[in-house]
Amino acid sequence: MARLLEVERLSVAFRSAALPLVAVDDVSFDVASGEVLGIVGESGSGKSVTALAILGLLDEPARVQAERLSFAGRDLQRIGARERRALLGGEIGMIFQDPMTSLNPSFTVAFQLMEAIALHEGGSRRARRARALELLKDVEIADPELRLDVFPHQLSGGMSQRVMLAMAIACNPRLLIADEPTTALDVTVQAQMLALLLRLRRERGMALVLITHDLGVVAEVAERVLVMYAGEIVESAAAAELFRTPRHPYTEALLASLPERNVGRRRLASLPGTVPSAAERPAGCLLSPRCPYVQERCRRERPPLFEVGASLVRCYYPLGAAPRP
Amino acid sequence: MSEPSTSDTDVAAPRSVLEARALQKHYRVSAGWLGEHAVVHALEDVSLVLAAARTLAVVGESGCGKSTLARQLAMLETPTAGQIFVAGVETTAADAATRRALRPAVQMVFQNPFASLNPRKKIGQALEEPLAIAGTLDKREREERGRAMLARVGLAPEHYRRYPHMFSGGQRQRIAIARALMLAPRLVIADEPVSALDVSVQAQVLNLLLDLQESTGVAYVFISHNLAVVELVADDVLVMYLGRVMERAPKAALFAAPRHPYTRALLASTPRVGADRGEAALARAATSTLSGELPSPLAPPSGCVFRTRCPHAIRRCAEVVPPLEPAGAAHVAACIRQGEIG
Repeated sequence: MARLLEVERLSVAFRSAALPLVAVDDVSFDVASGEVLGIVGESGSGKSVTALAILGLLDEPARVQAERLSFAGRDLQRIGARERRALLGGEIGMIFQDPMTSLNPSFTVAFQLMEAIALHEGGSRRARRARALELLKDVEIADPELRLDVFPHQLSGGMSQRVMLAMAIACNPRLLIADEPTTALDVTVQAQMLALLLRLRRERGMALVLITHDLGVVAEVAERVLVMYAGEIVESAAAAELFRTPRHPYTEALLASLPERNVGRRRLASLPGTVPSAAERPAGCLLSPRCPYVQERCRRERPPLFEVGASLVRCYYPLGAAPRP
Repeated sequence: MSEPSTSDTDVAAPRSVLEARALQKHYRVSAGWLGEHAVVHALEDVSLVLAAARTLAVVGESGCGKSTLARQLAMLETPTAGQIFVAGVETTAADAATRRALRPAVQMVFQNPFASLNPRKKIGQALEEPLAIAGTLDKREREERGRAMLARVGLAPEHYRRYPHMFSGGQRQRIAIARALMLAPRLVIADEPVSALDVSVQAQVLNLLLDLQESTGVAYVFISHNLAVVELVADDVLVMYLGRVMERAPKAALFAAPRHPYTRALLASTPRVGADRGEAALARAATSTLSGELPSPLAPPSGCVFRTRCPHAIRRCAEVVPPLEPAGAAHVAACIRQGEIG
């Protein structure tokens, strides 16, 4: 499959009064056409900042550095503001966690959808309205004709997220970046939304980058998974492989702390301590203060990503494999 | 719900810490321009019993009335109709002095630990405040108790003089739990206590709640939308939808043999690692179980409130409000077709 998005050695730091705060550190990955990539991590792991940096949506005081950021052969660090505006909402669609704050409360659903269509495709008012209706049908909104002329506050959370999705796919994007798209939704509505995302992706052949903290969502939807911790990718693997044989101690701990992996037990397995803040990063491996397998070397040196089978693992002592030199 | 009977009209079991009978809560909201009012049916006919050292989980989606239920049980609001008993005393009929005397027995832990701690009070002050209000201990004794509780929830002595902003979300939730336990309550109502926490921290806080229950015998009403968490902590489960109880059962029975179509839909839609369902199965879970969204509580559907989204609904469902009928030992479900849909 062709590489659609390429990210090499992306780092993001935020300038602050004292030291720069590292949010994303040396992150590299690709997304192939039509692929579903899950990026999973806890709060502060850098997963959202990674997406914003790729899209060029970070401003001062963020400092974004990368050896390569390219989409469909175009260098995202070189393109001008006009070209970026055409690309975002055109070939690259985005949806965010909170649909209630992503829609403009002062305009109707039809107005906002038609505006997006006008910016990228144009066409007569009548044609754009027809297209807006078609999009609402495509995202399976109940009674789409009735929803065209309502304001966002008249929609439920699930319906608002469907409108956001309709807007994001209005211009047939080749890549859809969805940042916690179902986190604000109830579970029954979440299942509908995930099924919808997968159907659209199959019918339109678009790639999907799904950013979430929810391992259950990733397990059900993603083909490949990046696990992030404190701004770094700690494991990159095929989804089935990752959930069957986690190689990084952090991935293992995340899975072990899921209530569904502890059925019948009276206590959950849990990692001690908390994620290090961007201001106080440990010297060696970032997980070393919390890792149950920590060795002397882990506290001194920051491990690079090692190949373990078909996966990449940031650990000198990957689980179930020989130690790395 | 530890007693064998499933009837809602039994007298309170002697060991019950909490009992609610046929609770109803209506809110009047303004509708329209001319001072017209509409009524939100937030709770209808909710009954429950909870014994010491047990956990009753209340599950349901947003708008199901679970937080309204919490506020009634915690004596923060008065129900429109129905009775609540705490340790055998009826709070809904009690005078102000009796209610005040009962308050130490019922404490709450809220979802968002960033909003539930006063940013201008040190942790020690927050912990000692309930004791100061109760007014039986002097300053030194209060600090002793506060420090002991801080250690018990896994925080260090030096944290005692710090402010809330210096703590992470998980640590703040530990502090909120510590504060709730300062008066040695019989009952803690925890409203989504781990939903705002990351999964690795969530595990720590859940373990803490379980440990504290084991050592103090406190009973929990555990409100959650997360069925995986409920399966870990609960003894009994109450499933709510649009203000009504759909199903009530011991945990094992509920997860192994859910009787109500809504409970089944909730279980089928919960994403799980290891399910590996993919698009086809996800679509089945989404469409075969539930279509559409929650109806407005201003105008709940006639008959069974769930019928507008239920895959098994028939005409009769619109005509009668289904009663809670026995479905097994201590297991009741409000579905007139529960026998047919197997």
